[in-house]
This record gives sequence, C-alpha cells and structure tokens, in this order.
Amino acid sequence: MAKLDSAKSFEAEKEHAGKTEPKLNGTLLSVMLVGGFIILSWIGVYALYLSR
Amino acid sequence: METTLINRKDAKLSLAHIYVGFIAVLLGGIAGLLQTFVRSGAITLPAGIGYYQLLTAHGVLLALVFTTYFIIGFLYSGISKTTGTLAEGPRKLGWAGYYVMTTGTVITTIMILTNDASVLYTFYAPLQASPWFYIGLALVVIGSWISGAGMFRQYRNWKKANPGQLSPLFSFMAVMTMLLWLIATLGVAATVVLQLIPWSFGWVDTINVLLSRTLFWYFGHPLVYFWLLPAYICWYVIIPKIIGGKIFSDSLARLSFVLFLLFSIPVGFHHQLLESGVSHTWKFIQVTLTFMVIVPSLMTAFSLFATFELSGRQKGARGLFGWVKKLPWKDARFFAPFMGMLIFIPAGAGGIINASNQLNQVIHNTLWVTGHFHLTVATSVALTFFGIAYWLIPHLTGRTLTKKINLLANIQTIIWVVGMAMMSGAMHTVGLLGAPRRTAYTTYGDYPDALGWIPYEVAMAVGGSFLFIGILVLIYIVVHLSFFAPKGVEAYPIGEVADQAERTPAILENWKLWIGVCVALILFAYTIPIMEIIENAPPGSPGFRLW
Amino acid sequence: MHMHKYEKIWLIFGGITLIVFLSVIGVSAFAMGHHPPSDMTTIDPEKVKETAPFDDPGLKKIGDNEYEAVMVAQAFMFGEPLEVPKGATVHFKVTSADVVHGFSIPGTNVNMMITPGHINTITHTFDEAGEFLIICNEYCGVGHQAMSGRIEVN
Ligand code: HEM
Ligand SMILES: [Cu+2]
Ligand SMILES: [Cu+2]
Repeated sequence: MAKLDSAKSFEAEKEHAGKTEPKLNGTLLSVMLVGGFIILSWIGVYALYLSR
Repeated sequence: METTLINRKDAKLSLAHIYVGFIAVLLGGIAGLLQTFVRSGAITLPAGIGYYQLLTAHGVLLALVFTTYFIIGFLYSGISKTTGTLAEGPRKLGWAGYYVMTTGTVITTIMILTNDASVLYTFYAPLQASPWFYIGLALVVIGSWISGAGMFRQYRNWKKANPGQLSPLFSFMAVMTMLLWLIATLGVAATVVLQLIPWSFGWVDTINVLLSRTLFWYFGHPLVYFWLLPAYICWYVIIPKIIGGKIFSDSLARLSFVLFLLFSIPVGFHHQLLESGVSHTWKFIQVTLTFMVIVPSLMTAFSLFATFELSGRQKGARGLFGWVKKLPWKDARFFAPFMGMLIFIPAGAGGIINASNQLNQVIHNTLWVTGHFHLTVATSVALTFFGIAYWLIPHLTGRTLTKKINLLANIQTIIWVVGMAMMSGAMHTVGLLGAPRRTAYTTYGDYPDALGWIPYEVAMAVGGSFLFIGILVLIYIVVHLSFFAPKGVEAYPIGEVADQAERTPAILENWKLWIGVCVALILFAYTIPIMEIIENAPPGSPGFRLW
Repeated sequence: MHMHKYEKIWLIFGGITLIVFLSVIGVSAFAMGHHPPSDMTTIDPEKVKETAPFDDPGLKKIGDNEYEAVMVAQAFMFGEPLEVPKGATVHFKVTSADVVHGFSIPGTNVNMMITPGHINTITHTFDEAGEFLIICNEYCGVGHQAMSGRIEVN
C-alpha cells in the first residue's frame, strides 16, 4: 500500500527514487520489441490497403 | 495476511456468480465447436438448429454471460478481501443483482432456444426478436447495476471509516470498472428500453436504425474494456504477489485506469466507420480519441515488464533477460495470465489496425475481426480469468490447489494457446482474403476464391477442437476445485507496492473530477452527431423476422 | 508523479508512433479523398422500389469507361450480375429494402454497410479482368450465406 505519511518521508522517498532509478534495460528492450511488432503489422495491412 | 480466508458469506456470493460463468463457458464452448464444424462443411446441424441460432447462443453465453458473472464474482471477492467483510447492505445488493441478472439470463436463453431471437448477440435492428429477448437482456444490465451499487457502497463505507487514506488499489480498480460499466450501459439500456422493446411489442411501428446502432456502439466499445479491466487488475495487483515481486507503481496503475474511464467511451464510431449517416469528420475525431485509449495499455505493458524485471533482479538475475528465468513458469496462477498478457501483444496490434479509419475497409466484417476478439476476450481475458479461478475457487471453497491440478491447469493453458493460435491465425489470414464473419458454410456457387477459403476453415475446426478439449479440462478443474480438492487454505494473493514507488497523488481518487471529464468527453464526441442522426433521420424501419 | 526515465522514452516513442499512424490515415483521407464510405443521403426504406434511382437499378454509363451501379440489397440478393470493361471505374450506389446488409468485394477495398433508410456509395476501378464476387458480410437472416452477386470484368 502506498504511504500517505508525512511530507518528510515523501521527500525522502522522492530523493531515493531520483537517485537510484532501478535498472530496467530488459523492460525497455521488451516494450520496444512490442512497439516494433505493432508498427510492422500496421504497415503490412496499410500496404495491403494501398495495393487493392 | 493472505492466509486468512474471506468471509464465508461473501465467498458464497462470489461462488454463485463464478459457477454461472463457467456453466456458460461449457455451453458456449459446445456451440463454438459446432460452429467451426459447420463452417468448414464437415457437418450440417441436426434437428432444425440453425447456424445463426447457435452463433447467437455462443455470443450471448460467452461474451455477455460468462464475462459479466465472472467479473462481478471476482470483484466482490477482492473488495471483501481488501476493504474487509461486506456490510449487510452491499451483500444484499450483490444477491439482488445476482437474482435479477439470472432471471434475465434465463429469459434470454429460452428465447434463443425457441428460435425467437436469432439476431446474434449484437441484435441489430431492424431484425426483430421476441420482446422477451430484449427484456431478458435489460434485466441482465439492471442486475449488474444493482451489483455495482453494492460495490460502490462498500467502497464508500471504507472511505468513511478511513478518512484521508488512500483506498486499497484493488477496490479502487473495481469501482473504476463498475463505474465504466454503469456509464457505458446507459447507451444500450436506452436503445433497448426506449426503442427495441416498444417496437418489438408493436407499440410503435418503426425504429430509427442508425440511432439504435449508435447507442449500441456507444456501449459496445467500453464493453470490451469492462472485460479487460478485471484482467488488468489481476496483472497489476495479483501477479506481482504471485511472482514474489512488488507492484511497480501504485500511481501509474491508478492513472491508467483513470485514462481507460475517460477514453474508452467516446469512441464507438470506430465500429461504424463504413456506414452512412455519420460524417467523415466525426468518424475521424472518434478515431483520434480511440488512439488515446491505447496510451494506458502502453503504460501497462511497461509496468508489467518492469514488475517482472525488478523481481527477477532482486532474486539475483543478471543481464538483459536473466529475469525471464526467475519467473515461476510452473505456477498455473502465473502461467495462465502470463500467456494472456503475451497474446495481448498481437491482439492489441490488431486492434490498432481495426481502428485506423479507412484500414477498416480491409478487415471490417471479415473473419479477421472474429480472430481478433478471440485473441482479446477469448484468450487474454479468458486465460487470465481461468488463472484467477485456479486460486480463487479453492480460496472460496476452503480447499487447495494441488500440484496435480496445477499441472493440469498448465496443460490447459498450453492447449488453449495452441488451439487459439490455429483458430485465430486461420481467421486472421482468411479474413484478409475477404472471407466474411457470421456466415454459415458457403462456397457462393463454387466461386474459386470462396473455395480457397475452405482449407482455412478446416484449420479453424482443428483449432476449435483443441479449444473444446481445453474447455473440458477446464471444467474438470473447476469441478474438482469446487467439490473434491483437499480442504485447506489457498492464499488470496494481493500485491504490495514497491519501496521506491512514490506517494500516490490524491487527485487520482477525485471521482467527481474524473466523472466530470468523462461526461464532457462523451458530450463532445456524441452530441452533434446524434443531433444530426435524429434531425436527418429517414422514415423508420418496420421489424423483420428473416430466420 | 514520478516516472522512470525508460518509461518516458517508451511513452514518447509510442505516442509519436500513434501520431504518425493518425497523420498517415488523416492525410490519406482528408487530402487524398480516401475516406471510408460515409454517404449522408437518406431514403424511405419502405418505398425503395418507387424512389429514383432505385426504381431502375442496374449499370449506367456516366463517362469515359465510368459507370454508376445502382443496386438494392434485400434478403437475400443484390440483383442482376454486372458486366464492365477492364479499367472501368464503377461508382456503387446501394441501399437496403429490408434489414442491414454488408457489401464487399473480396480482394478489393470495396467494403461498406448498407443500413435501411440510408444510401451508401463507394468507388472502385477494376484494373484486372476476371469475375468478381459481391458478398453480404453482415448477418441478415437465414439465407445470409447465399447472398452474393457477380461482376464480370472483360
Ligand atoms: C471452444 C472454444 C471456442 C470456439 C471453438 C469458438 C469458435 C467461434 C466461431 C467459429 C465463431 C464464429 C464464426 C463466424 O463468425 O461465423 C465464434 C464467434 C464468437 N466467439 Fe467464439 N469460440 C470459442 C470460444 C469463445 C470464447 C471463450 C469467447 C469469449 C469469451 C468467444 C466469443 C465469441 C464471440 C463474441 C463471437 C461472435 C459472435 C457473433 O459474431 O455474433 N468464443 N466463435
Ligand atoms: Cu472498439
Ligand atoms: Cu447478409
């Protein structure tokens, strides 16, 4: 559960989050692959539309 | 915490819903199997059953009955889990809703069985079913509103008892789902109660067809988000716990649900792109709004991968994809929903194509569309619901998911994915070739192109057979978990938020604000086109019974 | 609200992709006229056979290898087969005399809904010779799977 404590701990959290962003290289590559798949399928059907 | 069972009375309410849902899956699955056999020319239906009668039953049982019952059962259980035992009022509303919905379902089913309603689950006028078919559907919707009111009340009680506190994520998402449903169903309720029922009783002679279709599709698109959001609840809240990780970000999860509420309703014209009477401009405006609703799904994709990667790295995974190996592949509670997520990638890509204005001409009303929603609702959503059932049913019945049943559930998932890849893959391909959906066996007088579709229809039947076996395995598991599995305590997995995630802004829970923006967007997208539809209306249509 | 740097990259990338998709279809529709069919003309659905031009359906030559094909969709037929020369541009003008029908020619972009009370129009140029099939792709009743028409291009 997210905390609604004091503003102080909020600031601390923010700093913490800002300094040590977790390592998510695999995530970025994965979503980019998803994006690539979407773009390729879209272009495929668009090409079909143009060719008909 | 998750080792305590939810209140037994609440469990009973949830179970009653879930059982009806799975009975619908079994009956609908039988219809689906027969459809694939008819379409490929392998059989003709006995005893005067019509293909379209069967298809009406399949659509109503699976798309409307299974989904709605399972969703309400699941959401009630999670609300009881996260906000505490249901108060008397909300529980009574839950049961009232259940009985009203079930009355409606029975009436509707009888009308389909007596062949008085072979109008398919979208019941487009001016095909005219028996008035009782529409009355049954209206009762299902009204019942679901009563259930929704119960959830809203439970949530309000919790807010009152915990002033200034952020609500549990599950309950927030459940309320958002039911709110979306409430606003969306106003459209279908309007056409059913104000147009279809008076017209089918003969109180009025004719109906405004385009208005009825527009009101239907005002509801039809958010309907698919009503199916999807509970699956997203599982992905956001339940899965992190099962894989031993944390919820990536509470605020981003809530933000994505807010965006779904805002942008999933003012977009219905993307189902009417090829019809007369709606101007190019308004179609394109709604296409643009449709693209906005893709954004929260992009956010979800990131959050899910991030949850997996973070938990994997915490367990010592290294490299770009080391975390993949740390996922609990053998745990059916994870594996089934995970395959659902994976299938959502091609499903979502297909959806973007469908909504792309004139690209819709390539696929509209072809089997591509049927292939598309068997990926979205019949795989992404269905597999996630199955995955939920594997722990939820034993949790509710006070039994446990044994190793053996867990293995069987994994086999079920594989059968489903393989069968669906075949059936949906064939549907997508033959759809691009132009084969129409909702069409019984035909070769159009041995027209060569249509003959060329038959092999794909055979592939659909093979895939459909896998799927049907999958349904039998599923039903065996459900029955076993309900009545025969060993007694014990099955956990209700509710995830916790990652330490580094920051505080959730209170604005995300400002319901007045979001309902206001939602209504404003709907008024923007629909006021002018609906005024035009009414002002320029042609003389109405009488009813037809062409089956 | 804090967002991971990579998530920002992803959402910007996704957002730009969606804007590009929208621009491509928007320009193609509004600047080049490739709109999906959206005719605004209405008709009395119970008087289709008495209303011009549907009182006299069929093919009419309106220009140099350019034709108008006036058709009435009704359970479960589209009317007489059509015959046009290769390279002909055909403007289909269709309405329904009963329920909702579909109108599609597999292998082409011809695909539209025919709702009673409304007229719908779409244009296609037949660059190749051969026999084309018109099919109804919206459920319209027990004979829906038989509802088709032919276009001979030679
Ligand atoms: C045994 C598993 C299944 C098989 C074999 C199957 C097969 C089919 C077939 C062949 C069609 C119709 C094709 C046509 O347009 O003529 C169809 C339509 C449909 N299916 Fe399934 N399906 C299965 C499971 C599901 C599930 C689990 C859902 C939803 C949760 C679902 C939802 C639908 C819907 C909404 C339609 C459209 C009905 C309509 O067009 O009116 N199906 N299915
Ligand atoms: Cu939609
Ligand atoms: Cu038809």
